[in-house]
Amino acid sequence: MNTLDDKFSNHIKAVFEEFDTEGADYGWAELRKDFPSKSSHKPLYLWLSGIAASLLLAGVFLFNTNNNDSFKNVSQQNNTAKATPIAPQKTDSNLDKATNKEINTFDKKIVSAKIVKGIAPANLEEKQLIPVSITDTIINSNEPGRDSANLLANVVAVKPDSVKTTKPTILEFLQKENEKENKPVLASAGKKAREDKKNALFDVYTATFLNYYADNPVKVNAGAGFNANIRINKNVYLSMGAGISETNITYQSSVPSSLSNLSSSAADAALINGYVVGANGTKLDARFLNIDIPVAVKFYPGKSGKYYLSTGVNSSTYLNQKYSSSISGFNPYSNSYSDFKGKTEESNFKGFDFANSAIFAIGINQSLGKSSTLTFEPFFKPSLRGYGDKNIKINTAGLNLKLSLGGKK
Amino acid sequence: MSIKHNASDAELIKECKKGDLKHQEMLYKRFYAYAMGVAMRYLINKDDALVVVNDAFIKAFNALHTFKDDLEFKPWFRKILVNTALDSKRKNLKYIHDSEIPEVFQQTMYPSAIEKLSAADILNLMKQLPEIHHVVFNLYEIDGYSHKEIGLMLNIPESSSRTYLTRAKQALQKLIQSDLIKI
Repeated sequence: MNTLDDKFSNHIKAVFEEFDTEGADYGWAELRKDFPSKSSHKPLYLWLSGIAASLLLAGVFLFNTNNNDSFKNVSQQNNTAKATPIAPQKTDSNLDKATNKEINTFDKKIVSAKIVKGIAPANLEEKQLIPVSITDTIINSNEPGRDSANLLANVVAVKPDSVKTTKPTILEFLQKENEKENKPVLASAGKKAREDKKNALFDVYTATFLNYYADNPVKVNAGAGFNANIRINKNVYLSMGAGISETNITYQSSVPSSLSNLSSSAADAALINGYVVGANGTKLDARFLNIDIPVAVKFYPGKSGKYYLSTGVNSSTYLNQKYSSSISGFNPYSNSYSDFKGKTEESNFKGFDFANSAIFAIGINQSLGKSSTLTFEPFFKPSLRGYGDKNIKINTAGLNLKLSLGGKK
Repeated sequence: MSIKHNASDAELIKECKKGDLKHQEMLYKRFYAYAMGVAMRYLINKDDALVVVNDAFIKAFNALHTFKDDLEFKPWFRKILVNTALDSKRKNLKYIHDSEIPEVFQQTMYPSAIEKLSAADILNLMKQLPEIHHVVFNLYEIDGYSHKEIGLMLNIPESSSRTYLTRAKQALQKLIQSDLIKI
């Protein structure tokens, strides 16, 4: 039987040793499609252009958001002014003209008058002060205790016939009001400025997180960055930012098909050296130094602003991507194992993955004095599209420590 | 550098190490048929075999700097070929429990019948075996790997490798017999 086995095996060996087939030219043409490997390194300027475009978009968005806020404020003021113009409209003095002009003209003068009022010295001439004062009064008509226009309107409403006779009284009254409110006006300007600050809060953060995928080993990584939080409404903020982080993962199972080339290169290195390799013995490492661009919506459920829920997406661009493989080979002759490194692929300043992971986070704010807040933000970022050239899927869970300066929610 | 069509393997390899495409093409064409023979034993299908052959050549060209000049190219390249072929088959290689393996009774193999088998006949016979059987048969009987090595390569117990080989041989004998009866 063994002789026949040998004969059979030897016959097969001989047949395939002398195996003749055509198609070498075609085969070579096919091989040339992939060999030598064409460099897929995009020029640096493309990568930089991508970053610049992202920042530009973010800038435009921020600019528009702030402008819309100003527009909304002024529109509200204008509407308020139109709704309560009783006292000034019933007069024909310079005051009325100035006031009407201020009220009916929706232009930058209103805004500039608003700005001037805060810093206007109290001893300015009456004609300079009055329109400013009225504008201020109208602008702040929603604020209790300082609604002199409403007060005037009430006076006029109660005594409509006495408008003409009360004109000097109104002037005097307004002047007094202005003098009275000069300090509160300055104070309110400060308050207003703080409110403006709240429309865009900034924070810096450090992150410590765990990367994992399937049943592969968990890796600890870290990152840092900053965020701008733009107020959408009372309870909702849009958070955008940029951060740098290192992301590592090692695959020992569920190896992505995009890494199979690396996987076999490690096995080849072992085989070339006379070692035998196991089918599942390859380790694949992926390492990224990436710039993360998170965009998330924060929702503050309570009035206290102590907690928030956040959800959004994270996009990444890569300062560096590195993929490497290694395998443990067995030498049957020396009965020993040895590790072999396979091919390493590395690239710099390459790639942009939009929405490669989702963001789910809970923020817990801890006050640190008057204008600083420390936020503990546990987060979970499940993989959506994968990282880098090889579309490496990585899930991340970790903790952000955020320090907000210059304002509170 | 002018290309000598009768250049030895060592001369070709020396030029290929420099990354010379013309010499790489010559090396490719010189070993193409051999490579296809090895690959087809594992893949059976010619198109699949060509993919494996090209993958193996690319790996070989990329790793040629590690090749020692005092060695023969063919055995070195065959290792790469076999490993590449196994890589492409691993997804389909299903571990079969011993209990699932049908018992085939020992039959006599006629020497004269063996000599008549062409490459196409052998491939046809192998095609009829379970994939893991014909892979183990190839690895052990033709390419000379031990059961321990096969166990590691295919992530199966050594004993399973032995069993698959026995079953493969039994099945092949049966198939050869039945083919002879048809003839």
